[in-house]
Parts: sequence; C-alpha cells; structure tokens
Amino acid sequence: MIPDAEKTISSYLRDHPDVSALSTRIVGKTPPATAEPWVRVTELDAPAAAASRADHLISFLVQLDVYAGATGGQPEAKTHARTIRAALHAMPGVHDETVVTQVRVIGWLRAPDPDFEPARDRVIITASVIAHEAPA
Amino acid sequence: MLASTLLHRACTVTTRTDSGSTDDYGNPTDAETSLTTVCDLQQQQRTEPGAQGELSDTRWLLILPPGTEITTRSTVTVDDIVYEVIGDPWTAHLHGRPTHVEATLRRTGA
Repeated sequence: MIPDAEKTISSYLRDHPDVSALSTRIVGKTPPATAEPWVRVTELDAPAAAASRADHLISFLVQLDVYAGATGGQPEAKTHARTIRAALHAMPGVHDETVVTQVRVIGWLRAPDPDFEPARDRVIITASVIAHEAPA
Repeated sequence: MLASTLLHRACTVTTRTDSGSTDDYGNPTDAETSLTTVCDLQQQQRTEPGAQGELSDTRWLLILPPGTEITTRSTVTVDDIVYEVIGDPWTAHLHGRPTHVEATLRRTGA
C-alpha cells in the first residue's frame, strides 16, 4: 500500500518541538472552535514518482492551510507558516510506517479565508512529499 | 420611543477607527472606542460553509436605540459573544422621527 501522507505529516508536525511550541492544532478539517490557530493538512494528489516501480515511491502533493487564531492576524499566520515550512524541510527520514525521501515546498500563498468574518489570516503552503512505505 | 420600551439586553458596541500608525506589515492599526447600551438581537440565518467541516456561520439582526454610534467597522458583544457588523447600519424612522438603529451582524466559528 501507499503511505498515508496526511497521517504521517500531521503526526510529525505535532511531535516537532518548534511546531508544538506554537500551540497550534494540526487537523484534517476545519475545527468547530476557531478562536485558536490551526493547520489543516490535505492531500491533493498522490501519483507514483517518476521512474518508480508502480505505487512504491509516491509523489504526494500536500496542501497545508496555516490559520491564525481569532486575534493573531497576519503576524501569527506568517510566523506559524514559516515554522511549519522549516519543519517540513527537516522531515526526510523514517516516520513509523513511512519513509520520506524528499520534501520540497512548491507553493506559498498568503490568502485570508473569507469564510470567516473578518477574513481569517492564512498562509497556504503546497509541498511535494516523496515517500514510500517502510519495509516490514 | 421603541428603544426605551423594548430594548433590554445589555450590549457593548466597539468601533474601530484608524489609530494613525501601522504595524510591521504596513497595515493601519485600529484604535477602539466602546459604548455600553441596550439592544435586541434576533437570529436571521444559520449555515455551515461547504468544505469547512462544522464551522458555524450565523447572521443576526441587531436593534439599538436611535442615535447609537455604530459603523461597519464595529463589533458588538452580547453575553460575552462577539459579533461583527456587516455593512453600515440603518436608522429607521417613523413619522420623520428616528425610532431605532438596525444592523446586520455575522458570527463565524464557535
């Protein structure tokens, strides 16, 4: 099977000391309580990496929506996004059932979310994560 | 007339104005003034935006005494819950005399 990139990335970020120091939440969908900051992790695509035998080395395309809390504003969104980005770059390695071989940030957009009133500050990070299942 | 007889809920109107300074990103910072008054608050719409999980999105009708200072940059706090004003409020008149101020409020999230 292919690795579960959302689970692996979320678990890694929760355990990362610089990220946990932010007191943000790493989640798979928007939490009902939005006063505190959060990061929503979403897989956008998962094709087999070029030159890989079928479904071994996977090139995950992952979006991380890094939200500020209700009062954090642009400074909080930017600080959290920069911290998340730095943590992602340190991610290659073995993570439980997944081996991450490369992480590259390929998109960075500051886009406040108008579903909130006032629009909630957010940075959208798009990352390419190359990974395969760890050998049993 | 209407305000003095029907409005009983305590509320605080906080209005933002430009402070004249900017933050590190060049955004104007707000100065806030608060006014405690009475109001009535009625829910008009409740929904959840698509693809946002269980995020709550509600709209409300706020009624204030005539002459209350409130703008689209204001927030209103009722029972410790903060609502955002959507659009400039409107002063209703009866026989040429202002009777009350109506404002549309929106609250997203819990």
